[in-house]
Amino acid sequence: MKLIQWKKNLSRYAPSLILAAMIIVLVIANRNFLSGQSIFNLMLQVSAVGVVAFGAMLVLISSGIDFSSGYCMALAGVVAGYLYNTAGNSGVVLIITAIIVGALVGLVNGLIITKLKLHPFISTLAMMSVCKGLSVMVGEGGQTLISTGYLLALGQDRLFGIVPYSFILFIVVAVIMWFIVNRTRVGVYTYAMGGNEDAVFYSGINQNLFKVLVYVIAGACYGIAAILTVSQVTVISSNISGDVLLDGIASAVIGGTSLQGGRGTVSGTIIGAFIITLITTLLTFLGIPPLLRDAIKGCIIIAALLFDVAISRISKKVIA
Amino acid sequence: MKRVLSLILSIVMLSFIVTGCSKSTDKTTDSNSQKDADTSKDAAGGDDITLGVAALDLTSDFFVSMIEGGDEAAAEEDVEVLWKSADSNLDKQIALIENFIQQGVDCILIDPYDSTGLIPVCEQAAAAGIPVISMGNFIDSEAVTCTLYNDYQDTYTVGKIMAEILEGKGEVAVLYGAAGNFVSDERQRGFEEAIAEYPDMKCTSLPVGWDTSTTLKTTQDLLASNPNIVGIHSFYDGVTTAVYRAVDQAGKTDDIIITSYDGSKEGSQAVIDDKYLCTVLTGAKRVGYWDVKMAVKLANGEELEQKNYLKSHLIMKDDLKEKVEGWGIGYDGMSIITPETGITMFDDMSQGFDE
Repeated sequence: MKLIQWKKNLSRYAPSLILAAMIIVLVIANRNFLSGQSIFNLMLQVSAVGVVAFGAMLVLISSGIDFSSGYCMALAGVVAGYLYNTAGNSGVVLIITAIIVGALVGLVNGLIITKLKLHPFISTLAMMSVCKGLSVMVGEGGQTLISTGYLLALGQDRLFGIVPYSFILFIVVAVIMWFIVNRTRVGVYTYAMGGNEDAVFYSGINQNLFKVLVYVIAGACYGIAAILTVSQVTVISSNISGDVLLDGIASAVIGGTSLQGGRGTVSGTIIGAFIITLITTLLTFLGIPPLLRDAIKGCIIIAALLFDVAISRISKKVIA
Repeated sequence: MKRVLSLILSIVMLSFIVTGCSKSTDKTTDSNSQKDADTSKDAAGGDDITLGVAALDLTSDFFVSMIEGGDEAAAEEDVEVLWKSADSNLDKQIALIENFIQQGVDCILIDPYDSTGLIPVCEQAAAAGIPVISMGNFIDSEAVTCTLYNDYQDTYTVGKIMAEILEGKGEVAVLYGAAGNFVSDERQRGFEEAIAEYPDMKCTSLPVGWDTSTTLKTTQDLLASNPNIVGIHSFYDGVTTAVYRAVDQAGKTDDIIITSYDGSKEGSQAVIDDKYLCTVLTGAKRVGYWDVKMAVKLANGEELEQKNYLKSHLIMKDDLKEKVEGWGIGYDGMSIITPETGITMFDDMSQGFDE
């Protein structure tokens, strides 16, 4: 009996097992990984990717997809940076603008999908191009230096000298997302839309409204990620998106969010974000030749996904 | 309800456009939009000189500045510049060049995707009496004049400076863009070969794209995995801020020397503030300005050498300059300027080009 119970829960623990395995490999490969500096780096680095992953997770649960995350983050960053400058280096303006711009991009995504009935795959791909172009246009190839105290503290300093403020913001966003996903109608209907869209339609729920809300919340997440990134790098420019598009979606999926929709948890996404962040750390710590880095990162992601699939098959067999 | 929603949608789109346009009011109207423009605008007729630029990709920060510089030169020379993007695609670039030939532009500038695949179409252009400039890349053909950047030699010099400052010992790292990109490759190669001359030194090379958040993460991981690093060279000023940030977070600003490349104003300021040891002024804006000026010369029938190098300037403080001269590092015609001069020269196109 106990064994069956354990096997059933296995699929939930798969991401944690992958994370544990990676940490062990890292420690064996390079003892420096256990240093305070490494742990600090990890907490800092997981913050922005993790917040993007929450947005990606929400969209995926609703059985949508959002390719505009990376460049939406860049656009939120540069528009916020422009207004930050204009308002005499006001941090409040930067924070509010970044979140609003992110949410607006999400709103446009949601409206295109619900009103124009375009598939999210194509429409968010197109929005990705729009955001990319706009961010380069607004950024004008320049950099804006951040000088506001609390913004710099968000990116650089630690609470009690241990926990980076960025990580604390990440946890705060995680708690808010958990609340949205588990305790609000938005959450319930998001899972419902992902699980069975027809059922949602026939139960008279205003599906369009909630779909749009999903993309708006995701967009706001990308805006928050932009704030985190610029405060860590201390400059705002249009080249801040990095690999956040792939990493955000991969974090959600490795953490148990299904690409078909209807499944995903905040805790799983958190672990997924740690896994993705550690993959690139692993590449540097193991001294992987630069030309192989991308290829190996891709292979590790595929391996992690296959592991997830294998585990869930085992646990399904047990239930059957 | 539908109308209200359409109104909201339009306002949202408009607000993006307004933010974008309000920043670019001082852009000259001589150029097309910076994004991929498939609309083939007919060349201005009559006696006006028209230049056609078949760029690889017009959507990165580098190209924004390059276009700015190019437009400034175009305004000075009273010529028109058609900026087109080949979207990193060889066939599309060939098609753009063929279009330019049809339109009868006075000079074609290419940011070549491939240095051999474009030879046939360049010779076509030459046969039609249109000079061709290859920007930043050497195309081996009589039909093509090349404008090149001194990246290899300058980065090699920076590498040697770093090595000498470190007295020929220690582990250093070079952060480059991406393998296969010519500019990034040259800047990586220059540094690696300089360090290779010192047997007690080791060089680690890591790609960071042209992205600040990737650079931050890579540098953080590099410093954590390898506490012995004493020098880092970044191939592009646009990301070196992130390098400094990571070094600062690790508390190693006194232990690690940072050098940079490109000579942005922020880069020169960092040299003044002793954050970076030195940088090199090439600058996307100056590249654009210089390339357009060269194109105008060709369009006016002047002869140019097959290979032309953009005059670059090493930026460092005077005390380092003395040391560099003492070590005998450098090359004929090398220019060293102070960071203050670097800041003025970034925008002032009247100085610092070989005439």
